Formats: sequence, structure tokens, C-alpha cells
Amino acid sequence: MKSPASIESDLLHEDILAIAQHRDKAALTRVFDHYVPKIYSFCLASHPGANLMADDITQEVMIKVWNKAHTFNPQTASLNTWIFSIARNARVDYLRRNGRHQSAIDPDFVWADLVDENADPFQDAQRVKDKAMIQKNLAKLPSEQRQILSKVYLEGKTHIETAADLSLPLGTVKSRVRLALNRLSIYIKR
Amino acid sequence: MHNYHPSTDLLVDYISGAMPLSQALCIATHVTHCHECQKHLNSLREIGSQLFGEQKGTVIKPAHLQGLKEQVLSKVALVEQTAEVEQDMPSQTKTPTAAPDKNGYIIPAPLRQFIPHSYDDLAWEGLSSSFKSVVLDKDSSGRQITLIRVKAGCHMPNHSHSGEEMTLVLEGSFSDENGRYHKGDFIYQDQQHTHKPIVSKDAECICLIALDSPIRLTSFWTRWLTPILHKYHSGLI
Repeated sequence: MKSPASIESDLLHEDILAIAQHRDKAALTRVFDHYVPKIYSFCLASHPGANLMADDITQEVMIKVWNKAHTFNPQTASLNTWIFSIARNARVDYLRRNGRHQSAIDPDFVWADLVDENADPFQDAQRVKDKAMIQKNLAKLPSEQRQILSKVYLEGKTHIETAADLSLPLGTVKSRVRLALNRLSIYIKR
Repeated sequence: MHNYHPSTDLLVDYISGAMPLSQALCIATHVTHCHECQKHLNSLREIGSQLFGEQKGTVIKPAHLQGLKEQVLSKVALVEQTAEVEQDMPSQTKTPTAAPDKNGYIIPAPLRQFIPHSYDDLAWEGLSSSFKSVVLDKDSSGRQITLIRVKAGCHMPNHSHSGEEMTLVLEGSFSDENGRYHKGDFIYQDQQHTHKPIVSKDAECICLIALDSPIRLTSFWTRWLTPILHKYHSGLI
């Protein structure tokens, strides 16, 4: 029997399809209700109190969801991943245009969809297994490892900025991230 | 197959969006042709996706939330009325494969914002007969992304720098005291290094370099040249 979260996820997938195929505004409203609080949190994580920035980015993300609904492919990424990617790009783009160090580099060229050109059913199955492993073990991470991951992914801080923020040596931050990745069964030989 | 890749911490900083854009562009260009790093990034992105999804979510005042919703819906209505549809995000599979230029070079997708067709179309500045460069972008902090183009068999100017440097080999190959680097290889160096790179004899070498501070020439004959170069090529060599 499916969990409530899984049922909700399936319904939201159908909402994206309804937006893509029928320009269904009620479907957009449901996606809005589910994701806007998370997009807002994501914005405030990097810039606490910056509500105007959060408003702008939230709108930008929802309009991109509307315009790009036809590009969402549940075979290659979950809806969470899709929305996270859009929100990440939108936050970077906002800071690029409004921040101290304005750059002409377009985030959509930097973080294009990572699609494996040689995707096959075996790789898709592996990806599903990897995702389940990450989900299961993320909950069990020691708090100091999870804290670093939150700093990088949610607050948008580099390893160097995270080290400065937490008054830790850079080596400690790097090592905690590597330990966290190993617990999530992500092994990068470098 | 590439031998030189971004380290784990750089991949994490890249996929999270934390990395400065000039550096992220360098990583993105490496990843374009590196299946190994693409696979790792898919897993690393999944971490971000799960953390994002697990957020409790900000409690937004109902009136404010309703106001936001109405703004979104009215903007969406405008889009539909004027039939403006945003183009797809450039992606590895959606961007049509660019045709090779007359040298047989294909511009990697992440760089096509600045180089739509060919390296030859850029406004190269020749610092010597064997070495040319062009700045693609520079932000107000001094971070910049630059291309260098060096003739076969030639030395690149000996140089050191005071910050981080990321190099991506776009075409050809070169070697230095630490190894031999081929097309697609990614090299990271911090302020500890002084290089003496030399291009291999069989072909020219084109590299993408992300810098956070200007390069300083170190070899004896260039020390008097550096102030002149800084005057005409600020932030470069």
C-alpha cells in the first residue's frame, strides 16, 4: 500500500502533466500550494529575512514550472529534483542580477539538465535504487554531517564559506562531506 | 577517457549552486563529455532534491500567499494571451549538436552563450606570436573566465597567481611538471603553484580558465613586460 507522501507525489506528477497538456490552472494552483512554502524556505535559508527576494524567486519558479511543464520527464528525475533544479537556478540567477558581483554568465547554460545520453532500463533501475538508498540514509546521518550538507545545498554556501561560517578547518568540512557521501553509498574515487 | 576530474568538494559546490558562476561554467564544460562525473552529479543532485523536499516549509501568512498566487496566475494568463512560450532550458540532449568549425572543433554546449559557432570568431588578443587570449566574462569582484590559445610545441608563459585557478582543456594537450593533460581534462590549482606548461608538438591547445585574481608572469624576460600587459589586458596576463 502506498504511503500518503507517495500518493501525493503521484497526484502532483499528474498535475504537471495537466499543465503541460491542458494548461490547467487548477493543477498549477495545487503544485503552488505544495511547493511554494519549500521554495520560500529555500530562499530564506540563504538570505534570512529577504522576503522580497523570496517573493521574486518563488514567482519566477512557478512561471518556469508553467512554461516548462512539457519538459518534465519522471523517467529521468523526480518532481522534487525538477523543482529543486529550477529553484536552484532561479536563486543563482537572482543573485547574479541583483548581487554585488554581477556576471553575464547565464545559469541555464551552467546547470543544464544532466541527462545520460546512453540511458537504458538498467541505469534507470540503478538510479531508482540509488535514490531509495539516499533517502533512507539521509535520515540517519550524524547531525554534524547533515549540518554541512544543509549549509551547502540549502544555504548555498561553498565548502570554504561553510568552514568560515562554522569556524572549522576546510579539511574538516571536506572530510565530513566525504563521510556523509559514503553513508549515502555515494563513492567518488578522487 | 579523462584522467583529471573535479574533486568531490568541487562537484558538490557545483551541483548545489553555491559555486561562483565562472568556476561553475568550467566544471559544466568538463561534465559535458564526462559520463563518470555526470553519474556522480546525478547522485549528488539527489541529495539536494531530498533536502529540498524535506524542508518543513515557511509558514507564509495566508493573505501574502494568496497575493503571490494571484500574481503568478495573472502572469501566467499574460503568457498565454501573448502566446510567449519560453524556450526550453538548454540541455545536453535538447541542444542540437553544433556543427564542427573549419578546424573540426565543436563548441561545448555550456560555452555557446559566449561562443555560438567557432573559437575563430572571438576577438583574440595576441600577447606573442604563439600565445593568444580572450576574456569571455569578468565580474566586478575580479573573477573572470578566459580562453587561451597556444601554438603547437610552444611554452605557455610561466606564471603564478594568488588565488584559485581552474583549467579545462578544450582542444589539444599540454604538460607541466605534474602531468600531461588532454581534451576534457580539468585541473585545479590554488595559490601554492607556479606552472611551466608546454603544449604538445602535434596540435595547438585551447584552454578555458576560470580565475579569481589576475595571473602574474614570473619568468625573467617577462618581468618588465607585466606592467605593460596589465595596462592593456587588465585581469589577464
